Amino acid sequence: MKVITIDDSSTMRRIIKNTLKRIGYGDEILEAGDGKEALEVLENNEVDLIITDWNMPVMDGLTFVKTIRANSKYDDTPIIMVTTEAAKEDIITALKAGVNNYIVKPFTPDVLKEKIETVLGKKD
Amino acid sequence: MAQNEIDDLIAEFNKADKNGVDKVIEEFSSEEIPMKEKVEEPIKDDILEAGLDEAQEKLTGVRFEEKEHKVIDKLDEINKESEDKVNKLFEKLETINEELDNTEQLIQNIKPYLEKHKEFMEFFVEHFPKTAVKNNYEYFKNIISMVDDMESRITTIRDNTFEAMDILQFQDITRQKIERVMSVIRALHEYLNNWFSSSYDSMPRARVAHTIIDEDKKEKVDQEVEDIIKQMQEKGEIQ
Repeated sequence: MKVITIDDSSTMRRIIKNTLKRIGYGDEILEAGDGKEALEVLENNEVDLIITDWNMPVMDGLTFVKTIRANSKYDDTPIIMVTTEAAKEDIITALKAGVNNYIVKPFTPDVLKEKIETVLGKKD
Repeated sequence: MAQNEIDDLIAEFNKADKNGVDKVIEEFSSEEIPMKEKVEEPIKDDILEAGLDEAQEKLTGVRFEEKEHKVIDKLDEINKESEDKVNKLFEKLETINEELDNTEQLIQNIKPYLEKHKEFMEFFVEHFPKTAVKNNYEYFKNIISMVDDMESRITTIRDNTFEAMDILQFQDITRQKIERVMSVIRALHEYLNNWFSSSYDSMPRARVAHTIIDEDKKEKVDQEVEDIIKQMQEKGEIQ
């Protein structure tokens, strides 16, 4: 399975990458520091899952999700947002923009695994 | 202070009648200070010896380097440094885990030989129960038990390093808290005419986090997220 993790914090990307390996989704993990960089990575790569932060410079996670969802190529690509934003209106905004599931930082490997299984289950 | 409180404060500041303040400043500027007071101020010898710069330092407290005034740049540096250090720490934890994997592999390689030897000794004990082999067999069983214990300890150490890796998420959360402070400073910067001057305008920045939850509320928030997703699914607003 190919996953892309998008976060402006290199520490968070590392943590997510490491956690994905631990929970059995570490076959191939791509990285990007913001939404724009992620779009560039996706131009040359097909992924099975997108894990994105919200607050990032250049292009934030919400704009990235809206951009991705506007392209029919990514209709079925599951997106999980991992962010510090915990306000109800933010969660609703993200879900309406096309995010399939939502995780508030800090997260545990169990939570990430559960959410991935949920979104992948929907895909099938 | 919440963002809305800051906005209210700034709005209040803008509404205030500044004419009164200007008048006070004008009066203060035009007020004559008697020369006598200035001349009769004693000048300490040690200050004169130390030179003008140091004298200023002694009279006004700590003298910062110019760069130190650029609060936003300084906070950016702190964030960057903390991220670098946490990444180095992460590398060390990964190295520890690699070594644990290697050690575990060595034990796995040794174990079949130990099992073979155990079977061999069991055969002797069974056929020659009164010989010294029985005592050696007991020692050997202890060795096997110690090897099992080593394996179990490796698992415990690995679990702890994984837990430490998870805790390192604090860096990103702290970074965002600092970003929030920076956004307050930036707002003040606009009103205080470059008192906190910096090069921040040239850098693309992430939107500042609105809500960073306390750890003790995390479980409640996770449940809320689940409830929102469920409700929206039921309403057909999301898939």
